[in-house]
Amino acid sequence: MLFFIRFVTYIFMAILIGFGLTALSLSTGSGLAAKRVGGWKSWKDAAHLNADPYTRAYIAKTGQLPLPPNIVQTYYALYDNAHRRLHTSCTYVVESSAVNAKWWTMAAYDHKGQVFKNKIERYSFNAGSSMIKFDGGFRIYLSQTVQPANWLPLGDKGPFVLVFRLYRKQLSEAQIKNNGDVPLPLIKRVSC
Amino acid sequence: MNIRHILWGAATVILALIIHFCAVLAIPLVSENDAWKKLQNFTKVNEMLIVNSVTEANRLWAFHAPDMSFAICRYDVTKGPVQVDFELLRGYWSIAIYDPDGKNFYAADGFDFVRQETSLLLLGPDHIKGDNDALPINVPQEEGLLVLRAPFDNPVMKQTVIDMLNRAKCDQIQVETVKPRKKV
Repeated sequence: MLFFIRFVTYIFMAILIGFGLTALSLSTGSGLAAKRVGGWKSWKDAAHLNADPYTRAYIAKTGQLPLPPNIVQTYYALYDNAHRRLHTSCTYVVESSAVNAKWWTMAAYDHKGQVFKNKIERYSFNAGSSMIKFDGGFRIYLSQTVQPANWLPLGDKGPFVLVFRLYRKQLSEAQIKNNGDVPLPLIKRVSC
Repeated sequence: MNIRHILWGAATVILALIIHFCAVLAIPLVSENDAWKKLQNFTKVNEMLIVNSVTEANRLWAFHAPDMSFAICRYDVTKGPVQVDFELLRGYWSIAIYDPDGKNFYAADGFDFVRQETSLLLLGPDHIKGDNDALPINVPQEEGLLVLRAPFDNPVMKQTVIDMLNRAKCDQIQVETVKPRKKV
């Protein structure tokens, strides 16, 4: 009887750990499949014909149709710069220096990958719609309440994901040598 | 802790890893959420579906770019090649083709084309290009998805984008009636 109880307990634990590990690796991005740049991660082979199993599972689970990185490089952030989970009840400022790409866009999504519906119908900022700083960079505020300049409204309480897309990213010689990594916007929590 | 506990623990970890890898491999096969399955309910074969509202795009796929309109063609080359005519207004507009597994086997943006107005000819394994001047693409499976992405900087530009997407065509053509349309 003791053997049977122990057997069932270990099987249950194995199932729990196995599925837990799967959920974790697909939400935060397995180190094998997702490339991390600062607080951002990018599924490097999302549009690759021979993508690894983790990437294929992530694409199937989220129902995305990705584009190859030479057209658009997509970065996801689940955490701010202090590695705290992004949450809609807080106010954030996302700051970047000049973006070296033909076009860029930044949008916030709920945990299901849906944009937050809002009365002013503002779901993102891009290279053409955002107010640009003197140095060519941008500053975007994310919160539930109105903020000055580039304000992206957040939805009801809950965690959210920030997505930054770079279209036809331009790389310097140094960046090419550095695996194509470019400086990405900093996400700072202002208040909570 | 005796050797028996260590063995049970090791067996649990090994079983957990097996379950994990099996789950990762199984998700693409069993997921009801993948783009192909979802879009089958919203698209008609060899017809363009224009998606120009955030609400509509929210229903179709996760993490869609909200400052973008889409034209989607669920093509089927079983009865003949499919010709797709479209315009790319800006360099960062793009066109991409996927098989039913969501694998992207063709993608290009406006910077890749010399002309704003472009035609692609999707060919099945038994089809020949003939004298059609459209850019031939051999598709790996008879069905798939073609997605035209058209970003807009601001809401004012959105109507122009929608008008251009509405002019995009996705038509099946008979092999014997393949005629030149537009030069690439």
